[in-house]
Amino acid sequence: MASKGFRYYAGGASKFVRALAAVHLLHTYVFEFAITGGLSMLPTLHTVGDHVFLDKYNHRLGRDIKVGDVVVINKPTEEHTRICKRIAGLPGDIIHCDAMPKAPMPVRGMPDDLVGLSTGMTNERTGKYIKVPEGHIWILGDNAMASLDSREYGPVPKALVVGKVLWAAYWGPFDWLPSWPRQIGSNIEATDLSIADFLPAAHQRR
Amino acid sequence: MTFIYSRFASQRFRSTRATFKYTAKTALIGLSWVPVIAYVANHVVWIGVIDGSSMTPTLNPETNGLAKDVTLLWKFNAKNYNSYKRGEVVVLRNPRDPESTVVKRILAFEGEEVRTRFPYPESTVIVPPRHFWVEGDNIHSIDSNTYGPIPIALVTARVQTVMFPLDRWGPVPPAGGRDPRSVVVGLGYSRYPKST
Repeated sequence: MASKGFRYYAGGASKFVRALAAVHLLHTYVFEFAITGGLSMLPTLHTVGDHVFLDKYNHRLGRDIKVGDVVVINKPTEEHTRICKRIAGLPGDIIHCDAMPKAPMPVRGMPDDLVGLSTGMTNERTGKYIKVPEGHIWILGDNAMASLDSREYGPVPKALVVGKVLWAAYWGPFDWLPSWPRQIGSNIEATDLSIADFLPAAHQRR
Repeated sequence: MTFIYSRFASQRFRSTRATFKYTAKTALIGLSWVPVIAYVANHVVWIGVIDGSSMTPTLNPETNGLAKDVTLLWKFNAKNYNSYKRGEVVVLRNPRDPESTVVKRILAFEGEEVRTRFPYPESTVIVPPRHFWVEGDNIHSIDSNTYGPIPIALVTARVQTVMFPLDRWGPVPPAGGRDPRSVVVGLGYSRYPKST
């Protein structure tokens, strides 16, 4: 009985490689499911176990995003990491940067005794009104007192945006089944007055 | 039509419908290899045509704007911060316009204090964690002196070799633009600003 030859296994391997590449393409350019963690987006997202649906096709490099969108971006200060925050400012918007929680951020070459003082509560941006430069966005965690966001990183380039969170399904670590997905909205409350109404006429865009 | 097609396939098809089935099947198989090529183009190696004069005279030294250098872009290991050496030319997404990419040279790494040039608002700046200070070899380039240090997440590839024109074939020169010794003032943490 003839055994399976090279052509059989090579055919299977080539199909596997093609399938893997197609799935990778789908995950990078169309959509992805990701698991979020951390306190910085409470109460919108749970601390652990929230499975989110990321729309990459429409929002990949910061395309078509608006204030209030929850987005996942590549972390500016660490490679191969992603963070999930809400957009608080688009290019040209004026943002107030307030104090943020203390989080040591060690850098290569930094002496150990300075690590804890690296960010602290304030930096050169704290308390200032900052105009977001072109091509950048200002991100803010919903739980601002436990969030490292643009108050630390500064305005982040739109090119770091990986996708927008549309749905989240909570599947707790001890639950048998996930909960029903819930839509992640933009949390925007429209009022008649905004800071733009208090700016000098030259800066008003209306 | 059947006859013409079978001259290439060295097969004789019994009908037009059989030819159509063979064509469709081959086309689908060919299409299924496109994601693999896309993966190689995005994560391994690809060809890059350099546009613009911000890296003159290292790349695109002709001023007529018609002759564009063709280079080899190595995307493998592009997101590994520690693999970069001072003076490497990289391709990165433009911080001011996410749809376009720019080509610049790395002059300083995280933690180093950099002496900036016009139009940067401060005279020195400390490069944040996992960021690079990049500058174009041309004095008129728009680079970190305009938009500040760039995070590694924006870097997509390193420009390793110039392939075309053939008289400049070879690795991209590791030096050009400002000398890194005049750019890097020192390691920033000897005078790291204390936060309140």
